[in-house]
Parts: sequence; C-alpha cells; structure tokens
Amino acid sequence: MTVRGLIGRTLRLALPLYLTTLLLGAIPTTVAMYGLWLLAGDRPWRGDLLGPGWLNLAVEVLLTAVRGGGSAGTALIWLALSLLLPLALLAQVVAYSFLAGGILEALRGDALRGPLAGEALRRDASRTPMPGAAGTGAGVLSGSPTAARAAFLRACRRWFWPSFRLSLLGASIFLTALVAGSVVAALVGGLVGPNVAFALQFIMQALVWGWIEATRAVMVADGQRSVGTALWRGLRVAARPLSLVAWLLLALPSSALLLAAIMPPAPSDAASVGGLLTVLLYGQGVAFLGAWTRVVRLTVALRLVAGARVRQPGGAAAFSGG
Amino acid sequence: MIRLILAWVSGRCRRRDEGVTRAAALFCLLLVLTSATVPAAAQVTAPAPPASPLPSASSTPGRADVDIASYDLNAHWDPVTNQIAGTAKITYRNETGDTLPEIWLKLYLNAFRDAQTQWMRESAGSHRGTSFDPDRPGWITLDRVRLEDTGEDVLPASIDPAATVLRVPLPAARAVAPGQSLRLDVAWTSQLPRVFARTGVAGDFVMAGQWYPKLAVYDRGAWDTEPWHAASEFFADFGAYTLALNVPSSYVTGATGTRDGTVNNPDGTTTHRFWADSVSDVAWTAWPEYRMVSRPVHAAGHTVELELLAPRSMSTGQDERFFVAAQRALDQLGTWFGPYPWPKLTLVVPPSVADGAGGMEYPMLVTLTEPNPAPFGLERGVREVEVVTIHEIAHQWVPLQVATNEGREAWLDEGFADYATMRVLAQMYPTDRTFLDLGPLRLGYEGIQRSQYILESVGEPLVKPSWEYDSFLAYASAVYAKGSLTFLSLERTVGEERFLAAMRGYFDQWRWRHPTTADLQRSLEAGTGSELAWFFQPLVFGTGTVEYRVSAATPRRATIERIGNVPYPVAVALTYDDGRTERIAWDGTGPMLTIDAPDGNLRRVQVDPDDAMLLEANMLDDGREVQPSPVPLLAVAARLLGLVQAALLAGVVG
Repeated sequence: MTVRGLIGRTLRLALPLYLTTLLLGAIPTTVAMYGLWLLAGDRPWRGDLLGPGWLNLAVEVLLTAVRGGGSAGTALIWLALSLLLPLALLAQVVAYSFLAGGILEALRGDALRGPLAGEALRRDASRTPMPGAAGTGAGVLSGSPTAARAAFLRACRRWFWPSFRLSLLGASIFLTALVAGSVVAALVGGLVGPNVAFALQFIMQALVWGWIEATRAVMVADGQRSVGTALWRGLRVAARPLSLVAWLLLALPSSALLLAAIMPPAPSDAASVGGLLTVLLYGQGVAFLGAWTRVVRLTVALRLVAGARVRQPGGAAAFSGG
Repeated sequence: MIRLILAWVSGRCRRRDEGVTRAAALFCLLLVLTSATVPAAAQVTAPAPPASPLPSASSTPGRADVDIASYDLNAHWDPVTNQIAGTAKITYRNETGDTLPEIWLKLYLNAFRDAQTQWMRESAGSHRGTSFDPDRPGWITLDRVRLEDTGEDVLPASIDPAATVLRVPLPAARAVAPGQSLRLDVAWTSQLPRVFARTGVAGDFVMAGQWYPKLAVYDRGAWDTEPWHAASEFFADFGAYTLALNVPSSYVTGATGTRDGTVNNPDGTTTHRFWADSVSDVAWTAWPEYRMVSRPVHAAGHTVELELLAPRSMSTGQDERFFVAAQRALDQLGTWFGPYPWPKLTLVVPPSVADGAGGMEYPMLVTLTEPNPAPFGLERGVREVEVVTIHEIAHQWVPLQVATNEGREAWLDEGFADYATMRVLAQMYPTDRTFLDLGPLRLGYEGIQRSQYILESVGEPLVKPSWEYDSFLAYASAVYAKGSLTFLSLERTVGEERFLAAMRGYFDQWRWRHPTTADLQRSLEAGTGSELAWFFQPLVFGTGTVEYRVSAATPRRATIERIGNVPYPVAVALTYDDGRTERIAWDGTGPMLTIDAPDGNLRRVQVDPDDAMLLEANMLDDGREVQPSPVPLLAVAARLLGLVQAALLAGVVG
C-alpha cells in the first residue's frame, strides 16, 4: 500500500472513532446546554461565554447559581458535568476497546499487502492463527466493502475483552506513572529547573503511553489474548530505540491537538452564524484529527511490532520466550 | 477567598493575607455546595433604617504630633534556644485629654504558649494552612518593668502567663497627665514558635513579628484591652524606634527602618542597628540563606530604597517581579493617596518551609510569597507574587499610616488594601486577567473578590469586631471581598475622580491617627460633596442587600424590579433596533420601574451597564434581549462539544 493509500485508509478508520466521540460527547453537551439555556436564554451576556474573558463570566455564573440554590438549569449543568461526562468517558473506553481490535486487524491486513509491510507480518500471516487470533486478516483484505465491514466488526468483537482489559490496566499503569512522574518532577525540579523536570515527566508519560499502544498492537499481531503476556512483549517492543523515538515524536502532535482543543481561539463574533460555523468546524476538525492521530499511532505501533520481529528471527516465537 | 482558583493554577494556595487562600478554598468548596440554598432576600421593602447613630469622631482631625509610643529596643537572638533576650526604653506621651493611672501592654506571643490559649481555641491551632506545633510554642515573659527615672518596679506581681494583654497600674503619684510622658525600662524574654501565624523559626530562618511588649492604644477615652484573637490583627500608636539586633555574624538581616551600621562582636555575633520615625511596629528577620538586592526606585515624586531579601535558592530571574510590582504600587498608591512617607521598604520573601511567615505587613517591611516555578515561565501568568506584593504594600497606607483598628474594623485596612490592589493591577494588566493570564484562562482579581462575596458575605455587616464573625471564612470574605467591593462600588458610583480626591482628603486628614468607619464616611461626604448615609448605613453598618433585575422586556415595554432592600441609584441602558442607545437614571426608590418604548423597537435593556453595583448579589439578571438569537448559545454548545470530544479521546490510554 502506498503512503497515500495508507493515509486514506487511516482516515477512513478514524471515522468510527471520531463518530463515537461525537455521539457520546453530544449527550452531556446537550444536557448542559439545555441547562444553560434555562439560565441564560435571553440574557445579553450569553454570547460572552466564548469571548476572551469567558472564565470571569463562567465563575460569576457558577457562583451565582450556587448561591441561588437549585434551579433547573443549574441542576442540569451539574448533572451533565458530574455524572454524564464521566459516564461518557467510560463509554468511550468501551467503544475504543471495541474499535481498536478492528482497526488493528484492518491495519495489519494493509500491512500484509503494501510495500510498507513488515517481513515478520508477512511471515506471520502465513502461519496458522493462534486460538482466538485474527489469523491473516483475510476478511479485512477482501475486496467487497460489505465483507470488509463484516470482517471489521468480527475483529472488533473478537478483540473486545482483551482490549478492554488492557484499557483498564493501561489506565491504572498510566495514572500510576503520572503520579510517580509528578512526585519525581517535584523532587528534582529544584535541582534541574522546571523546564527539565517537565520534559522528564513528559517523556516518561509519552513512553508509558506508547508502551500500552505497543501492547495493543502485539495482542492483535501475535494473537495474544493474555494482557499480562502482551504487556511484557509490548515492553520489549517499546524499549527499542526506534520505538522510543517514535513515541516521543508522536507525543508532540497528540499534545498539540489536545492543547488546540482546550485553548481554542476566540471567534471574532460569536453571535453571528459565521462565528457559530467557525467554532463548530474548529472543534470538529480538532476532534477528527485527534481520532486520526490515534489511528496513526496504532499503525506505527503495529509496524514497530513488525520491526521488532525482523530484528529477532523467529518472530513471535522469539517473544514467547520472554 | 483569594484562594481556590489560585490553587488550581499555582498548585499551592499561599497568600497569607487570607484573600488568595480563601478564594482557592472557596472554589474547591463550591463543587459540594451546589445544593446549598440561600434564603431569598427578594422583598420589596423600604430602605432599612440606620442601625445606629453615626458615632462621633474622638478629636478634631488635624496635624498630629506623631510620636506617641516610642521604643529603643535591644534584642539578642539565641539560635540554640530560639529565644530573644530583649531590653527596651519605652516612652509613652499622653496626647489624650485624660489622666492615665495605668497603662496596658500587649503580649502577643503568649497566644502561642500552648494549645489551650484563647487564640488557639478560636483557631483550632491552624492559621492560613499552617498548623501550630505544640512542641515548639511561643511566649513572652516580662523580666522587668520599671519607671526609668526612679527605678520603681511597676511589674504586676501576678501575671497570667497565657494573657496577651496586661494591665500595669502606675503609682498614684505617677499617673500620666495630659501632655506628660512616661518612660519605662523593660526587660523580657521572647520564645519564638515554629513559624506560625506570621512569626517564628524554621531551621535557622527567623521572622520576628510582635516579638516585644507593645503599648496598647488609648483612644476615644479608653485603652484597647481586647485580648488578641485568631481572626484579628493589630492596633498601635506611632512612634520613633531604634533597634540594636544582635545575631550570629553569618546571618543576613532585615528590619523595619533604615540601616544604621553594624558592629562585629568578639563572640562571633554582629549587632545590626536600625532606626525609624513615625512607625507603629518593628519586625525583623534573619537567615544565613538570604541574598539581598537593593534598588532605588522613583515613586510619586520620591525616591524609595527597595531592599529585597530572598532565599538564595530563588531564581534571580524572579527578582524583577517583586521590584516591578513594588515600584508600581508605591508609585500609584503614592499618586492617589499621598506619597510613601519613609525612605526605605524591605521586601522579605520567606523560604517555602516558612510559608506561615509570608503575606504580612509591617511598617517599612512586608513579607511576601515565593513564586512556584513552572515550566516555560508559566508561573508569571499566575500573579500571586504581584497580588501579594501590592496588597501588603497597600497596607503601608492603611493601617500603617492611617492607623485603623484592625481588630474592630478590619475592613478599613483589608478592604482598602484589596481595593488598592485591584486599582494598581488594573494599571499593570488588562482588567480581565489581573489575577490569572494563562492563554485562554484569564481571571481578574475583581472576579476573585466577587466570587468570595457572592458565596459568603452578601448582607454581612462590615463594621463588626473580627472575633464576632461566625467563622474565619465569614470574617475574611466580609473584610477582604465585601470590603474591597464596597470601596470599588463607591468609586464607580460617585465617579472615579471625585472618589479619589475624597480618599486623598481622608488620608490627609487622618494620617498618623486612628479613624473609624464613621470618620471615613465623613471624609468621603466632605470630599465628594454628597451625602452617603444611604450607602453606609445599610451596606457598611447594616445588613442591607442590593438586588435589581429586568423582570420582563418586550419591544414596547421593559420592567425592572428592585428586589434588594437598598435603593441604589442606577443607570439603565436601552438599545433599539436601529442601534441607537439611550441611558436613563433611576434612583431606585420604588419597587419597580416600567419603561415604555412607543415605537415598539426596543431590542435590549441593561441595568447598571457600567458594573457599578458590585455589591449586587446577582448581576446576571440585570439585562434582557427582547428577541434573543439562539446563535450565541449554539456556538457555546459547539465549543463545549469540541472540548468534551477532546476529553473523551484523551481519557483512553493507548
């Protein structure tokens, strides 16, 4: 597959991931906005919520609501932020765990076909699939869109539970690393300065994140449904110099997109239809790029797994010894 | 309240002068407060009658002879025992019209003698986030109190060791007649606690505040005999001071006053001498790990020597923040309220292990807060350093020139200091980001004050002894937040120029004296030419509330209701379909105002378009669009959706 083809493929694979964020995000957003409409339906300040001084206004609105007691609008906003948003996040974990298997199977199939394919993946595809594994990815490689879709969904279902377990375990590992990194950064910050301390923490978190992603790729590439074993193999992949560089480089656009999402530019005129469209397109553009970046990272993870095998003749067998 | 949002962004709530710390705490709390309800005050009533007649001024304002209580202090610091061995010659000049058969001394350090003192019971052993260490207490014992000329011992035979105020009867023949002076020879020992509530020791760091026996104030016919309370600061007369401070030679020192030479002693100690005129207190600090940077700055036509004492571990790149904030504060406050009267100001930045010593004002010396380093210099976007520096320097005007009683009317100094801080910050930064400026996260210091006010102090009287507030939160919200918003509301209501001129008159009239709220009201009335009882009686002395709302708006008619019990003169802005705007004034005396637009082209109505009524609890219902467009809220929804999607994607690891 050409680079252009790969980009097209990853863009298509990003679509379901993006749509899940849109669907799940719309639930708390709708409820919160209905609450805000009850509070601010005809108040002149409502358009200022998108202005540069939005935080000043938001604080005033929030505290006035707190002091005023339980209005319906306040209750709805509180419900959206305290309950529906966490539930949406949990649902997103489930959705991503479901989609990741299908995405990886599809990418694995692409890898088998294209010029960028890893030799190890080609060899692996010729072997008999391990129990519960995706095998050759033949389904997702088939030419019929209907068949490809069905194969994608089968792969999603096949890998859901291992992927979900990895999501939960990975979150625990990441949070532990986050706390540990914060403590270390605080301890060494006085010695090395805040910039170096921040960089160290950033690097550590980027590598841990990459490790979890490599593990997800290992699971599908090796047909490994044991999260513990996959984590160990993923660690060996992630510890390679090329992997370290890759995760650090990939962390930059991921972080940039996150910053772009939480630090959007203020529209010139939020009260106009043009302003509304600008805000909408910006937000959705960033969200889609965010989803696409996740797919790209999985693609890279898969290829790093393949690269690790090429360097270790024996492929998967070489990992199993670990 | 100045302390919750700050907590998120600075990672540490550290403003010692309650404001910042309380803001942080309140913001944290509000997540659990949303179900709380507040009794509705929405009654259309006549203005509340004055709670009490206006108290009379004690004396005719005018040029005062400043030096009432003067001290020649000698202090020897023992770094092993953390004790100060002190001697002093104290001169009290009776400028009252009464003969005084006794004097009263304040022994503040006894508040920290153990966990059972009145102060400790009131504070539950905690102050601004630091806890009292009962194994490292503080106290002060008087070893000698004699009349200097005769040597007659006047030290009472029986003294409650936990008392923070002491009556010292004088021999009948030595009662101090009006115009006479009394000179005392005093010796004492002060034990400094582990740094707590502004004073103490942390390692070899020393901050000595309220460390010597101080004369109480005789004002308006009585001594100030009030014990020291947890939610209270200080009250003192002015005087001339000298200080001879003896510390190990490795220590770098700073103190109230101007340096007057050092003497290296054979025992490895150095005696540092300081002097000051017209000050109401002396504090000092010593620490081997200080680095000292001095810089003369020009402020309101005068030159002031700034002396920064900061930990060696603090980046020198941070020095400029302190110097710039201090220079701007001295210059602006001097321009508005009269020049800074002393030649020097010492800026003390305690180390983080001595947090409890920061955020306090003394004459010619302020203790500040060390900035938290953040990557990429982001800490500069959190203006904690600037806020604390300006606030403490504002105290150099009140109570350190205009010596209000910080215990009985704390709003006069704390409210003024935060009001002055808002004004200076607004000269330095755009008003929507005077407190926080981190990209799209911008917050004004005025918003911080509003937050505290809304949550805690609507309807809370300002003129009230600090120790009578229900809680420390209620006290701090009232005196800082409501106090500062009261000054700012007055300024915006009577006009900035008139108000500043009147405030300047207040300072000129009461500098080196002890004014009360009633004196402030009189000064402002005289300066503005306006009667202000309608404001002071319900909102400062009383429990009045300000509240208006636009209850209905159609193309032909708008209705405005006054639902607070204070008729506050207010402007109403009308916008018509053709873009034309019109302002009308309403004195607020009726319960309702109806505005007709016969052409049926009213588009928007807005009460108080200039945000002058900052004491209004709910400012959000002050306006209405007649035919509101859904587009702004849809745009907010689009923005929120994008944020939620980003959160969802970022929330799944790997």
